[in-house]
Amino acid sequence: MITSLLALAAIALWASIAALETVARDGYGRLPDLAVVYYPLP
Amino acid sequence: MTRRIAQLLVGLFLYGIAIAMMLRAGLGATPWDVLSQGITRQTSLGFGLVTVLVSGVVLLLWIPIRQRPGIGTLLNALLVGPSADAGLLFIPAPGALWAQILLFAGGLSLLAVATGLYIGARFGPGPRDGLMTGIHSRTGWPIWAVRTGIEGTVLTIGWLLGGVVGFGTLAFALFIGPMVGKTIPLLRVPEKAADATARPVPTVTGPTPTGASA
Repeated sequence: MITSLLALAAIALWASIAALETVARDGYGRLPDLAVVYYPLP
Repeated sequence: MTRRIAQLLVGLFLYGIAIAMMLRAGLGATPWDVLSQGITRQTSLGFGLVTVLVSGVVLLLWIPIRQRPGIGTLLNALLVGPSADAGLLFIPAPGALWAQILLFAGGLSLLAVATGLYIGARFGPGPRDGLMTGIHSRTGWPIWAVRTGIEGTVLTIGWLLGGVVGFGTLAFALFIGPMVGKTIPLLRVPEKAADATARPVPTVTGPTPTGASA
C-alpha cells in the first residue's frame, strides 16, 4: 500500500513537471528564460 | 548558491530512493545498478557500499581521459549509494505483478525528476555520465556509441554476476531519455544574467533531451 502510494506520488510529480514544461514552451517549442523567475525569489 | 546546493542534495537523495524503488520492483534495473546488484550478490558487501565503490572506480577512469570532477560529481559518488540503502530499508518488495510495474514506473519517474534536480543544479555530472561525455570528447566517438558500449559492457558483467536484467532494464533504456528531456529544462538553475531582474524580457532556450546514468 505504502509503496503503491509512493509510486503514484512519484509518477504524479514527474507528470506535473512534464506538463509545466510543455505548457511553458512558446509556439516555437522554446522555453522562456527562467532567470527572470528564479533570481528575484528569496 | 544555497538553493543550488539544496537542489543537488535533494536530487541525489531522491536518486537513491528511485534506484531502491526500481530494485524492489524486481523487474530489472538500470545497467549500472545491475552491475552493483551482481557485485553485491557475489560479495558480502551492501548495495549502497558497492555503488559507492563502483563510483570510485569510475572516477579513477576519469584520470586518463582528463576529466575534472565537480562537487556534484563527488557528492553523487558518495551519497547515491547510502540513500539507495535507506530506500531499500523502508521499501518492501511488492507481491503482485501490477504493484511491481507500478513501483517500477514510480521509480523511473522519480529518477527522471532526481536527474533533473542534480544535473540542473550545475555542480557537474555524476561519475558515470562524466565518463561517457569524457570519452566522447576525447575520442570524438558518437555519444550514443560510447553510451551503448559502456552500458552494454556493465550490463553484461552485472548479469553474469547475478544482477537482474528484465523488462525494467529495457523500459529504462527506452523511456529515461524522453522523461529526463522534460525535467532538465524546467529544473535547470538558470545562469544569472546581469539584467535578469531588471529587464524581464523572455529570451529562449531550446529543448535539451538527454539520458541519465548518474
